[in-house]
Amino acid sequence: MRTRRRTQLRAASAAALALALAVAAGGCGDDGDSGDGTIQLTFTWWGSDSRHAYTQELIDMFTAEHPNIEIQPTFSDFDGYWDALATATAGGNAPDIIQMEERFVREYVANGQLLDLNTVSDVLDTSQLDPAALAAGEIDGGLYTIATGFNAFAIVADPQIVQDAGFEMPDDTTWSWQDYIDLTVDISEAGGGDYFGAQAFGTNEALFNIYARQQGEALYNADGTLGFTAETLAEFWDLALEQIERGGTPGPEETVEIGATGPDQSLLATNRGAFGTWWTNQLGTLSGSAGRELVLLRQPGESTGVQPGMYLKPAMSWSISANTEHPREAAMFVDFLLNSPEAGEKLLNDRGVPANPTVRDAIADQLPPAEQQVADFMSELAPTLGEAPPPPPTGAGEVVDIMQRIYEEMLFGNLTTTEAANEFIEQVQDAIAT
Amino acid sequence: MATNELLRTTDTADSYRGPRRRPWWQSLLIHGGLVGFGLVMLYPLLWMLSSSFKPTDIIFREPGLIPTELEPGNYVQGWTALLHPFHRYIFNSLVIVACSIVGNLLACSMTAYAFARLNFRGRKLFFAVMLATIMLPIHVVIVPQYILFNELGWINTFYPLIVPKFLAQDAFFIFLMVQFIRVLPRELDEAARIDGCNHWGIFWRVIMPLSMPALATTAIFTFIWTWNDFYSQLIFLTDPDLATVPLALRFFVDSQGDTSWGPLFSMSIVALVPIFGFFLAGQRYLVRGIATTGIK
Repeated sequence: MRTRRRTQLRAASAAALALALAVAAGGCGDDGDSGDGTIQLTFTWWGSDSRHAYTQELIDMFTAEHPNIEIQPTFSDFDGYWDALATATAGGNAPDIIQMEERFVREYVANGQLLDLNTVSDVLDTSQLDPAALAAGEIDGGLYTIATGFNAFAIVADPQIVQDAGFEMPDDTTWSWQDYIDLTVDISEAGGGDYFGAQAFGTNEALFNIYARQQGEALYNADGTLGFTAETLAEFWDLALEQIERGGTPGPEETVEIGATGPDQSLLATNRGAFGTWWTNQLGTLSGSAGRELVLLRQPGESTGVQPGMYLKPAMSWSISANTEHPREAAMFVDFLLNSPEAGEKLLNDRGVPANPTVRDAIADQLPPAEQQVADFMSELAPTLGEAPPPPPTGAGEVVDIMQRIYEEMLFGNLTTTEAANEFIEQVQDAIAT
Repeated sequence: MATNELLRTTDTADSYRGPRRRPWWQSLLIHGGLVGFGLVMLYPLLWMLSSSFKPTDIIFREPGLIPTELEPGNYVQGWTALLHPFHRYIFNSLVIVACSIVGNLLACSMTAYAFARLNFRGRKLFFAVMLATIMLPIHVVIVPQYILFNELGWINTFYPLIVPKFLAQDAFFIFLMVQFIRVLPRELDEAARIDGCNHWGIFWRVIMPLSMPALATTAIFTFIWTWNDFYSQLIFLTDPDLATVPLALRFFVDSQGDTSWGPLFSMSIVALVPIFGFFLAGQRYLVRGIATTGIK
C-alpha cells in the first residue's frame, strides 16, 4: 500500500513538472508567419456541418492556386460565434477574414475593427456585384462588408393544405394583409384542428420593416435612428393579434411554443399549417422537413400600400479585420469567394443567392429544385423592390429579443398594442443608443 | 462521529423489518409509481435515443417514441460527417477531462487543507475572496483571461483549459473540501504529528485517505462539468483540429434551420456514454460514508 502511494505521488509530481515545462515552452508566441515565407490567414464563419465541409473545400481550392497562402479555418454555430468573435476581437486576436451579419457591422466599425475594403479595391473587384450587396456595408464613406448573397423575407405556402381546405392559392401580387388573415382563418376552420391557416407573425423585425416600408416608413433611418411611428407598429400588431384571436393560427400558448423552435419544427415543416413567414434560404429546410413541395409568395400588402416593402437582405457578408497583417491576401480570398464561378459552384445558394450575376447564372442549372425556386423567385422579385434598407444601427442585434419579449407580453394580454408599441420604441432606443 | 455512524448502522438493521411487513399490493403500488415517475423523467433521453435512429426529416413530423423508419446510418454519418472522425473529438475531450481531474484533485485538496488546517495571516480574507470568485460569471472574466492567454500564446492549445485547474481555480471544489476536512477530527492530525508527520505527511497519509468521498465527488463533477463545458472551450479552442465533443456537437447545429438532427442526436448519445459510465463507476464512492473509510 505504502509503496503504491509513493509511486502515485512521484507520478503526480512528474506530471506537474512536465506541465510546468510545457507551459514554459508554450510561452513563446507563434503569431504571424512561419519562417518559409508562407502567409497565414485565419478565416471564421458560422454554420452547420454541410457548410463547414464545402467551405473547407473552398479554402483548399484557393490555397491550391496560391501555394504561398495558408488559411486556418475556425467555425461554430451562430450563437457561440458572436461570443467567440467578440472575445477574440477584444483580445486583439481577431480572425483576418470574418463572416459578418448586417446587425453587427456598425458595432465592429464603430470600434475600428473592420478594414475599409476600398483600400484593397485593386485585388477585390466589386464592379460586377449587385449594388445592394454594397449598400449594407457603406458606412460613413467607407465600405466595411460585402454581402455574400441575398435572401428575402417571404411567405412560404403549402399548396397541398390550401387545396385540402378547398381554396385556391391566393394571388400574391395583389393580396392585402386583410386578405391574408381572412384566408388563414377560413383554412383553420376547414382544418378543424388538424391544420391551421398559418403560423403567427409579429415577432420578426424584418417583417415589421417590410410593413413599415409599405406605409412609407422604415424600421431604421440611414442615420441609425428609428424610422417608424408607434401607430404603425400598433397597427402591425393589431393585425397579428387579429389573426390569432380569430383562429387563423394556433392559440397564444402554442404560438409561443412553436415560435421558439426553428424552421424544421414549424407548422409548415410538420404539415400542420398552410402559410408561414420565412427567409427564402429556409425554403429548402422547410420543404425537406415537410416532405413535399412548398412555394414562395410575396408578402401581403405589396401592392396595397404606399410602396412595396420587401427588400433584398444580405444573407451574411464578408469583412476583413482592420488588424490583419495581410489585407491584400485576405482581400484576394474574399474576391475569390464573391466573383469566382468555381467557388460559386460550391457555395450555390447556401450563403444567399449570389451577389454576382455572372456567378448566379453559372450555377443556375446546378441548384436543387427548392433552391431553383428561390433563385427564380428572387429574380422575379428584384425589379419590383424598393431601395435597399441602410445598415442597421449598433445594438440592432438586441432587437430580436426585445420584440419577442414585448410580443409575448402583448399576446397574453398584459399590454395593449399601443402600449406595446411605445414600450418597444423606448427599449429599442435604449439598445441602439449604447 | 464514529459512534454516531455505528448507531445509525444498528438503526438501519432494525428498520429492515419495516418494508417486509408492508402488504404486497402496497409495495407494488409504490414501486409502480416510482418506475412510472422514473420513466417520465427519462422520457427526453428516451426520445433522443429513439430520434437518433430516425431519418432527420421525419424526427419532428413523427415525434412519437417508436420510430416508423429505422435509420442506423445516423451514427455512421454523425461519426464521419465532420472534418475529423468523431473519436478525434472524444479524444480531445478526454485529454482535457483527465488533466482537469488530476489538476483539481491535487490543487484543490492542497488549497483546502491550507484553509481548513493551517493558520496564516489573511486566511479569512483569502477564503472570502476565493468564495467571491465562485460568484463571478464566466462572461466577466473571459475577456481578461483571453487577453492573458493570448499574450502567453496559449490560444488554440489545451493549456487555458488545463493549467488553471492545477492552480486551484475551481473554487467550488476547494469550498467543498474545506467543509469536508473541517469536520475530520483534529485528534487524527495530532496523533500523526506525534508519530512524526509534518504537514505534508498529515495531508497525504491522514487527510487524503479520509477525504475519499470528497475527492470522488470532485473527480466526478470535474468530469461532468469539463466534459459538458462549452463556453470556455469555444473561446479558447478555435482550431477545428482541437475541437472537443461539445464544440463538435454544435457543428451540426444551424440557427437558420439546416440542423442535422439525426447525426446530432446520435452523437449526443455517444457523448453521454463516457459520463454515464464514469458516474456508474464513481457513484458508490459518493455514497460511502466517512466513518467506514476512516476505520479501514
